[in-house]
Amino acid sequence: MGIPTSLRDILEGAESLVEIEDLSGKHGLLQSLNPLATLVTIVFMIVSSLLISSLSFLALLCVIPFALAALSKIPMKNFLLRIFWIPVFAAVISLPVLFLTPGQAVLSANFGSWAMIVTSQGLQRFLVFSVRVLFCVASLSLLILSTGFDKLMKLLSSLRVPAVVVQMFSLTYRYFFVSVHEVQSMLLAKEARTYVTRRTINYSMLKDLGSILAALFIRTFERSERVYMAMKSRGFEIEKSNKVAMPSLRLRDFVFATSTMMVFGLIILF
Amino acid sequence: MSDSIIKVRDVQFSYPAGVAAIKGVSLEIQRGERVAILGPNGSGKSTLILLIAGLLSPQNGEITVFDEKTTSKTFQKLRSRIGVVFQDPDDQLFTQSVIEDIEYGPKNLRLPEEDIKRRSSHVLAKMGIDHLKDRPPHRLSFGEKKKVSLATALVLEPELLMFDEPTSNLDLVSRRGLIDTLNELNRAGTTTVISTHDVEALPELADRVIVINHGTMFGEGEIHMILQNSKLLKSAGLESPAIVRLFTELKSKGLVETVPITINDAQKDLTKILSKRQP
Repeated sequence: MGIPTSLRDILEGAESLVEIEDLSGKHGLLQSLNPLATLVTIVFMIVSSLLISSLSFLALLCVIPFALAALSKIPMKNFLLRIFWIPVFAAVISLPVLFLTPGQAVLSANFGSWAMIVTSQGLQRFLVFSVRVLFCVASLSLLILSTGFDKLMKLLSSLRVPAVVVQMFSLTYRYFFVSVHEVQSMLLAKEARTYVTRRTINYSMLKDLGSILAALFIRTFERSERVYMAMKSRGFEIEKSNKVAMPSLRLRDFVFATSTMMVFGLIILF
Repeated sequence: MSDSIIKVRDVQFSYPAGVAAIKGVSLEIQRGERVAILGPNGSGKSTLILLIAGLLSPQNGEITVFDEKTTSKTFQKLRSRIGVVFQDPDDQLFTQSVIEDIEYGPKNLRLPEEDIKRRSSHVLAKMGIDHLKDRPPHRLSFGEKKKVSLATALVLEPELLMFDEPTSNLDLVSRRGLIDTLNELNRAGTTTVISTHDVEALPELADRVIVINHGTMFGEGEIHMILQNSKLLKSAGLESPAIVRLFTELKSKGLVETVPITINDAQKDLTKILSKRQP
C-alpha cells in the first residue's frame, strides 16, 4: 500500500466526517429545536467553559455535549470520530506547558546534564486546556451535526452575518467535496500508472504529490472563475444578500435554552 | 425592431494568458431558432456562449442581445431573459440544496415569494426532480445534476437558453430526456443555443448549425447541409454522423439516392427501397 492509497483513505475519511446532512435530519432533541436556540445555548456553554478553571468541573461539563448528542440520536462512534483528533492535536501542541510552567515537581527525567521536570501546575494547565478544547470542539460539533450546514448558513444570514462571509462558508463546504473527488481521481490515475509500490516516502512520491497539489490548485482556480460566472448569470452581486426568515421560537426552545444556561450559570457561581 | 435576438459582429476574445479563443466571429440568431455551435474540444464554442451571455467581454467587436449591447451596464437588465447552463454541473450548482439552487436566480431578481414558489414547484415537476429538492448537489448522480442545472436556468423563464454541451457524459435515457425537454422548450417559444461536438445528437437538437474551430467560423447553415458536408466537418476537425457516412457510401455505389441525417429518415428510405425490391 503506497502513499496515494493511504491519502485516498484519509480523503475518504475526511469526506465522511465533513458530511453532515444525514444526522441533522434525525428526529432528536436538538433537531427538534429552533437552530437559534441551539446556537445561543452552545455559544453560552462555550463561553462558560472559558470561565471555569476547575479541572473536575470541566471534566464534568464534558458529559453534557455527549448526553445531548445521545438525546439527539447522533451515533456516539460517529461523534467521537469527528471530535477526538482536535483535542489530541491540542494536547500535543500544549505539551511544552508541562515543562515550562514553574511549580512543584511531580515527575522528572535526567538526560545527562539536562533535566526535564513536569510540575503539578504545568500538568493542571495542560489538562485544563486539553479538556476545555474537548468540551468546545464537542459542543461545536454538536451544533453543526444537529443543525445541518444548510440551516446553519440560513441562521447566520438571519442574524445579519455579512453575506460575503456566509457565501464563503457555504462555497467552501460545497466545493470541499468536489475538490476531494478531484484529488481522489488524480490519485487513482497516478496509481493506475504506478508499477512499483513502496512503503516508504521517497523524493519521487513527494514530487508526484506536489504535482497533484499544483494541478488541484490550478483546477480550483479555474473552477472558481466558472462558478463565479454561473453565479453572475443568475444575478449574484457581492453586496446583495437575500433575506432569510427563520421560524419563530417556541416554548420548548426557551425551556431548553434557559435550563441549560441556568445549569452552567450555577456551575460558574459555585 | 428586428427579429434577430443575437447579433455578433467581428468579435475577438483572448484569455489573460494570451490564448486567442475567438478570432473575429460574426453571426446572427433569430427569435425561436434552435441553433447549435458545433466544434471540437477547445474550438472556442464555450467561450462564444459566455461572450453572448455577457459573462465575458470581447476585446474587439460587438455583441447585441435583445437589441442591447452586452456591457456590464446592460448585463443586469438582460440576465433575466437569458438562461445559461454550464457544461460541468458542479460549476452551476453551488448552494447546499437543490431547491436553494433553483430559487437562487429568482431570489436575486427580487421576485415575490409566491412567484418564486410557483416557478420552482413548476420547474421541479416539469423536470421530474421534485424528489431531489432537499438533497445536496454533491449527492446527486451526473444525470441528475445536469437536470437540476437546466432547472436552475429554466426557473428564470428565459427567452433565450444557452446550454454548453447538453449531452456530454450522459447515459442514453438521461440524454433522451434532456433532448425532449429542450425541444419542448423551443416549441413553447424559447430560443435555444447549444454548443456541442456531438454530431450524432445534433439532428435532434438544432435546425441550424454554426461550425467553429480554433476560434474561427468555418461555416454555417441548415443542419442537413452541414452534416452532409463531410469536407467542411473534416476541415473543422469533426466527422459526419455514422448514418451519413453509411448512406454516403451507399449513394456512391448507386444503392440509394438520398443521404438522411437521422435514423428515422434512414429507416424510411430503407423501407421504401426494400419494399420496391420485393416481388
